[in-house]
Amino acid sequence: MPALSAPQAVAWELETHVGLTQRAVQRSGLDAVLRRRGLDAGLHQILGLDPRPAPAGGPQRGAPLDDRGLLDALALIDPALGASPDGSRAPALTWLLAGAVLEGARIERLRNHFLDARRKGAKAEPGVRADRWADAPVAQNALSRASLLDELYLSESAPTAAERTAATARALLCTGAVLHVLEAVGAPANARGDFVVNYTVAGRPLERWAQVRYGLVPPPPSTAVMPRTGLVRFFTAPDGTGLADEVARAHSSPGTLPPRGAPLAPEHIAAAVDSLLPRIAAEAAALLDFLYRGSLELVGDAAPEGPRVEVRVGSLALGTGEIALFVENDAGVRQRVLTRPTQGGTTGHALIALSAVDLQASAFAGARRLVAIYRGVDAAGEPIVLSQVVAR
Amino acid sequence: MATAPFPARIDTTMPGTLIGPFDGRAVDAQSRRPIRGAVVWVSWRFCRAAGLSARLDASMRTSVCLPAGNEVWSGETDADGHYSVPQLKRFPGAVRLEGVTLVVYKHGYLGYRSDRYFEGALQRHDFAQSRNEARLDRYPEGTSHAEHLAFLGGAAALRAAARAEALQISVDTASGAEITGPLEAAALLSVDELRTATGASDAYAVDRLPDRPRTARYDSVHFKSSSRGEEADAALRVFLAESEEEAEKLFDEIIAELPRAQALDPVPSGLGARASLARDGEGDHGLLGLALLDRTDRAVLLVTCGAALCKSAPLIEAIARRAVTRLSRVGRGPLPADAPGTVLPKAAEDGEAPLKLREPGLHR
Repeated sequence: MPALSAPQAVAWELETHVGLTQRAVQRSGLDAVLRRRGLDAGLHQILGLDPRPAPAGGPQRGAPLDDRGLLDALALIDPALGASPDGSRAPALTWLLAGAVLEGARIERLRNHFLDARRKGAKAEPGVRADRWADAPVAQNALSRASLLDELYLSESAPTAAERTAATARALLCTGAVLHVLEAVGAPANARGDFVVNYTVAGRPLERWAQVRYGLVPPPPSTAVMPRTGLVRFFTAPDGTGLADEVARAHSSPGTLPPRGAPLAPEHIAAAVDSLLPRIAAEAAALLDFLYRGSLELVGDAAPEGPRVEVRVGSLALGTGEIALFVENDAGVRQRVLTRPTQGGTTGHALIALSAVDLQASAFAGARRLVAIYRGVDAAGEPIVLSQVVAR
Repeated sequence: MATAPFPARIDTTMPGTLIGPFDGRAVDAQSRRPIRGAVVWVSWRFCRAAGLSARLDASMRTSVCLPAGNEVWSGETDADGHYSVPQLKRFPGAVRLEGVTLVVYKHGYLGYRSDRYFEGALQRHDFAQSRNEARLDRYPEGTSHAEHLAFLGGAAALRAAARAEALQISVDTASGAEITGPLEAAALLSVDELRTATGASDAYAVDRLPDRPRTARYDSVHFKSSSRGEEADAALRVFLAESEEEAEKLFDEIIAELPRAQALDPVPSGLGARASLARDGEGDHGLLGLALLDRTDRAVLLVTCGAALCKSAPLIEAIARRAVTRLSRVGRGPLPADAPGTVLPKAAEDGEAPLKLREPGLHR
């Protein structure tokens, strides 16, 4: 049943995005990260959204990501892609794939997947530039990195376990969406701002060939990927090492070839797809590791003379931010105990060290778990949310 | 409605129709015996045209069709392996029927998709709307369950049927068994991560240590500072074992060879089950070594770091902590004969070189 029908997306087909994202997940350390965060089955842990009606007077949680709306949007997606939840529940991996699909399923999002790396600074895209879209404020893009960080924060700070689980699912949705945007600029037409000819008269030859040839299973990621310290640098970098920079340099698209609209030779299309897909999957894997980088160390002690708490920098040096401490009671309900600003530091540095004098012992009485959450920037100035939970 | 890319029957070139009905039989590809109780799942997908750019709306509407809903049906094959899927009954509004996918799945077999083969993800050309024969191959040993589930796609019915495979992946991933390809120590740490962990701004060349050959169970990566001497170098060696016991023994042998090795007790968080810190030389010309045992991943990691780079133990611990999180992902597959780094170096020709902190690779 060859799939030579009308395209279902801009940039790569949705099938290709799902396949690239699957490949990236398999290559990345996300499964281990999820297990460390308490999801015993890692990527296969079942997580549920919480699609109850929004409270009167506003959207759920006051945030732009509303669970009912997400489920309605996902209901439009072909389940054969493997990115659809069962009702409101799905494995962690499926939520991530669902985000990768949602990002490519709405025209108002697809317009923001272009970045003409040859003309940086000049307006050459139909919407917001791809790198800025992935890094946009929550109010502009509800599936951006900013939203991902909000949800990661909620996944540890929300009062109830159900709310925290739903936030984890939403964080994964946002992760998939951010990966989709990066994968999109791995298409030469998107990396060269070719949103006219490639998507109209030329019929998107590379993108359709990728779907026809590989479907949901693109080739495995290549091994060599340039490590990066910032989200935008995955897309474009001053030294020309971003994915869009390299793709724009090495590949052409129908609308950016002389003469305009000249068809690409079939052998050129196949070779380009075969070299691009492994590279894009590797970049997406590196981006996943980047989004889930870093750790905190939390030492909590309920000594008889009073509680002591120390939060240290883990594997990634941190800049300025804020540390919040929460306690969880026997019913699993979490409550904020305190918030302190911090200047950050390198590995092992104590972000806060609190003794009984600083802490109200009553706040810790009966606490089953202690939770530390850092929100700020890493040493490279990139936004980050880190957390650590210890059982008492 | 789009044109069906499959024939009405396998013995005709007359095109079928996307709305169905579909019927056929699931059989074992080798024995041709019918497969009873296989899940048969069908998804019809709809799309709606949209314009990418306001000024291009008119032309774009003809070429971009975005997801606009779906209808699914699921059932099982009968005792003779037969299935019968009713015709699509409803369209969700003013949308285009874009395609249909039929999947047949039975545990122990590779899934059958109407559009593709599992092997190589190549397009299938032998599916027919009616009197189709879905030949299912036995699940080959060693085939990745993760890739197979990705190939199947699907929602509730398929996911429930393939739950055993999902559980297998969960177990495999935790133990590292799902990772393919040979061991690559360079995958454990990047130059950027080394810089971030230590605060260094040096330029680094990345190579293997020349002291011992790379094998399927051993590999190394050497970060050579281009702006300073070896006192600002770092290196990782990773040794894989077949069992926890073997890894434990390996760890004991390695720390016995390290100078002034002291066990870290308690082991700092994120550094495995056992860890020992060693030191060779003094001052800025000294060298720190941190050996650790990761029982879960049946691996021993040895990190060496020049004292000018790792001015304190927490810095070398930070390097190790990053690498440990990736031990579960290093490959355990066979090493190709021509893999880089496998040529036996001169130093090791007369037998395996003893392991020292100050390796030839850290002398320049």
